[in-house]
Amino acid sequence: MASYGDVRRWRPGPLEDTEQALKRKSDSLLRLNDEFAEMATPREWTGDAATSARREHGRITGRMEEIVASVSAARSATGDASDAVIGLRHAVEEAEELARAHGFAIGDDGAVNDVAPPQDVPADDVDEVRRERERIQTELVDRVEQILRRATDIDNDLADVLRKVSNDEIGDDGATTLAAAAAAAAAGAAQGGLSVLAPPKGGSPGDNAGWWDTLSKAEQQAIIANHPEWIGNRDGIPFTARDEANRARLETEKTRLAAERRRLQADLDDNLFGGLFTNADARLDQVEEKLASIEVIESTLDKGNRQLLQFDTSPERAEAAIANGNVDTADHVAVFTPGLTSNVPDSMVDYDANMDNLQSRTQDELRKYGDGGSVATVTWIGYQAPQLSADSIFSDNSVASDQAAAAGAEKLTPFLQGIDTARDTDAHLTALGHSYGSTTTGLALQNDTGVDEAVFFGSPGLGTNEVNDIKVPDGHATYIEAKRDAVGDLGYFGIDPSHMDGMDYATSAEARHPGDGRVMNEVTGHTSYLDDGSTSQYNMAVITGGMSDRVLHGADRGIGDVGSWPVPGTY
Amino acid sequence: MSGYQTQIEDLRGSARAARSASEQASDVRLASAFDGAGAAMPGSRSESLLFQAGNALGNDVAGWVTGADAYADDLAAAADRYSANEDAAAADFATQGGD
Repeated sequence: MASYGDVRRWRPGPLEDTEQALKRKSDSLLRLNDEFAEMATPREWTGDAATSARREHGRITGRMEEIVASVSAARSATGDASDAVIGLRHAVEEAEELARAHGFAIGDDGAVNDVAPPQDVPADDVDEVRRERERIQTELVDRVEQILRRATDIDNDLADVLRKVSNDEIGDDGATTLAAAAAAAAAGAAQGGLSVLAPPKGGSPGDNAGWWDTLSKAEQQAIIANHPEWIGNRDGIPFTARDEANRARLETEKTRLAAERRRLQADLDDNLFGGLFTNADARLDQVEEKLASIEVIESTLDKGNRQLLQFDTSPERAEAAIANGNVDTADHVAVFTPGLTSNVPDSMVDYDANMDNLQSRTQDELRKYGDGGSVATVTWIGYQAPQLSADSIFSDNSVASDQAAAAGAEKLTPFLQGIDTARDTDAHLTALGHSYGSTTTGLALQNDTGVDEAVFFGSPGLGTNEVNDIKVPDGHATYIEAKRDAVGDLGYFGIDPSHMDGMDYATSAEARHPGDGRVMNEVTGHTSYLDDGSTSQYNMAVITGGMSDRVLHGADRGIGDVGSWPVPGTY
Repeated sequence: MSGYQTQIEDLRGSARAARSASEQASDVRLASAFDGAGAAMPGSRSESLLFQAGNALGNDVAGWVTGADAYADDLAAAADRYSANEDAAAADFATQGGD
């Protein structure tokens, strides 16, 4: 197997030269067609001699068909390998550039070495810098692994064809006349085609990004067209490609689910006891919910300037994430995770409107008071948020348990990691978590995700009692609580965030905009934090835009926060 | 020209076509298409196989040229013999030209 040092020296040029030379030579051989017709024995010639001569003529023309087929197979294989090596070189350059930019070097043995750790890091930033470098180092290791996996795949595919060519094992697809030589050549080309490397099983975002980067543009397009399910929900893949793949999957899923609905309905119609013993009625309800989800997703996408980043109908309830703006290119990206009762058909439209407003407000703040950068906001309903139904209250999916949040965090973590990993330059990344979604977000952020800012609001707990467990730069975890928000005082999944040492607090009370003096509205209760024109929305906007110095601070504690004050030594 | 003579001329034409095909094919040097190809993928299994495939294809064409020449020779010889004696030509082809 080639080493990383070998692969670093791979280049497409010689393969391209070979492919072109084989094309010219193959054309020359195909031009023998005229001679082959003329060298056939005269039709009137009969007898043993004529029979022998005809047999010999057939053998000679047949042999040339096989040779042309072999040449075509070799030509096709070297051409495909040349294209594949272009993709591979791109992946090597990406990895090398990422390493260089962060003070790492990749050795010939593929080891990722820390050669230039940053000097004079301020004490407050040491933890964050260490976390970031560990994340980058892990990504580089994954990328090298995928580069070698792809290199081996290219080599194996090419070697297989070359071995067949050397051993005279390329067939001419049954061509028996000289006139079929061109068809035999096509057969040879088909046998020379290289396989498309499937994505890594259970790959990390770094693995996935590394795999994707090794593919040529043509291969990437072929995967979007033929295997959209490979990448639609694969974290680490650029979101533009995921969007394209997921939009294609919407159509196929709609067709599949409509057929399933017809089948289940027919089962129910034919069964005297309905779904009493078959559970077909419950399954039909789920299918209906998923079809309704698709309808909502389509109508949301129709509003324009949206990306479908995630789409999965395999769980009990459909999951989806929709972005306002372009997550691949936006300077600032915010990912919002909602909580209790959120689901695609009932919640996506409103939350998407909230994120649309937040995007506009953030861009407005950036234009007037910031760097003028671009913004993308994401509604992430990528987990099975608890629902309020009689059977769900006592299930693993209950709001009274953190199991759904933990399961959601397992999905949210790679989704967040995949944002910086998929991009050429890191985004300024903010995670927004509301209610039970703040618990999900809090659990996810206990991993290295590349998130720069966290904003929790109306939280029953972050899955920890310590703000230091939330892996964002010091001073960049913010909590907002409105008056009369009882959920925010529960302190159920960790202490009430209103009382966390080291947490930054932003106000939800009425306030004047610090720039233009307009009045921004107070919000109260549990469900209004994202209201357009509210102070809480303003605070989320300036944090999303990387202007935390413009946050309006204040903890709007109510009587419930007195009761939720944690007693030292009890947590 | 009689029908018999026409057939002999046709045989000579087939022999000339076979000879022409052989000459054209011998100019197609397939192995040279692979010159330097191995440098594309140092350290790979394909590196040496590219060289081998080039040689194999070169040998394939060389073998084919030999066969085409023999076929041309046989046709020409048959035409010559038909001029003298068709039976002798048939016997000659049966012993030399068959599989």
